[in-house]
Amino acid sequence: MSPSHVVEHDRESTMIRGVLRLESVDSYDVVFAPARAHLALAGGNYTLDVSGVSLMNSSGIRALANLVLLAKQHGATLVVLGSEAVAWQRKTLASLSALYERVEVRLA
Amino acid sequence: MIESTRQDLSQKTPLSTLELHFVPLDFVMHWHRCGLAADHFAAHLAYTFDNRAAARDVLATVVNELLENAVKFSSDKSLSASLTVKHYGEWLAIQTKNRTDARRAESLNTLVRDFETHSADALFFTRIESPSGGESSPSGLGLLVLQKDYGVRLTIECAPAADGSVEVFVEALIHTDELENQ
Repeated sequence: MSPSHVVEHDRESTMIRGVLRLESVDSYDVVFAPARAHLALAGGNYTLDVSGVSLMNSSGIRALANLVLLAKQHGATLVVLGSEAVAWQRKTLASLSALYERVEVRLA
Repeated sequence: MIESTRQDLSQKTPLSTLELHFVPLDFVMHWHRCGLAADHFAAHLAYTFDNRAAARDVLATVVNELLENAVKFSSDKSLSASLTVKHYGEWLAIQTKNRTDARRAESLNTLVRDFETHSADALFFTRIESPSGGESSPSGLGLLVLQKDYGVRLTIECAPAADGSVEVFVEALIHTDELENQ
């Protein structure tokens, strides 16, 4: 079976495509490890592109929220790129920006 | 309001009923199948909607959330659980039944009480900033998202079972007009 999602990292960004419904919040550690490492640097900037994630479960929402809280803890800036065309992004992703003023959710 | 809707629906014969009976262990061993089952149910139900893609994505999210919860929070993962989806025309009822222990049931009862006194929006942020109970207890975040973002009317009931465990019944009601226009 082909993987349900694809993750690509570079120094200051992660791009994810596909369906993300992993079994626990901890399971998302692998996906978000580079983002977590970068956000733990005081004043760091990171971009997370989830616009290609068509479905995400609540463990993933929790893991994303934890990233926002980590950025807040370290005073880092997080830009989250999403899509208006994807239901969970339009409905839920935008809520995360209310958690921290230096999180910017951009829905295209 | 939700109680009267549930009562009305209980007098009606569904247009269709889809059922899946399982032992949670089967899904724990192959987690990806929660999503596969949810997607299958969602595709079947969404077929009658004008905007199939939108309906399918919302239904897949709702069914998957309830199914994952029934699997994760079953205390004895070898005891039978079920997922039932009833199509009443104007309403869809997505139901799960599973067994849990007293600690997890209390977490759910706390969530039910919180629903009565707080908005889903407020609870969502509270639960994110102050998670409690760890992964083995239902934080309710997923159910809150369904209520907050998808217009789902939730019913959660916990009843003692003869073997000392607790039977959990969760129902998500979705109005089909709202589903199509989300």
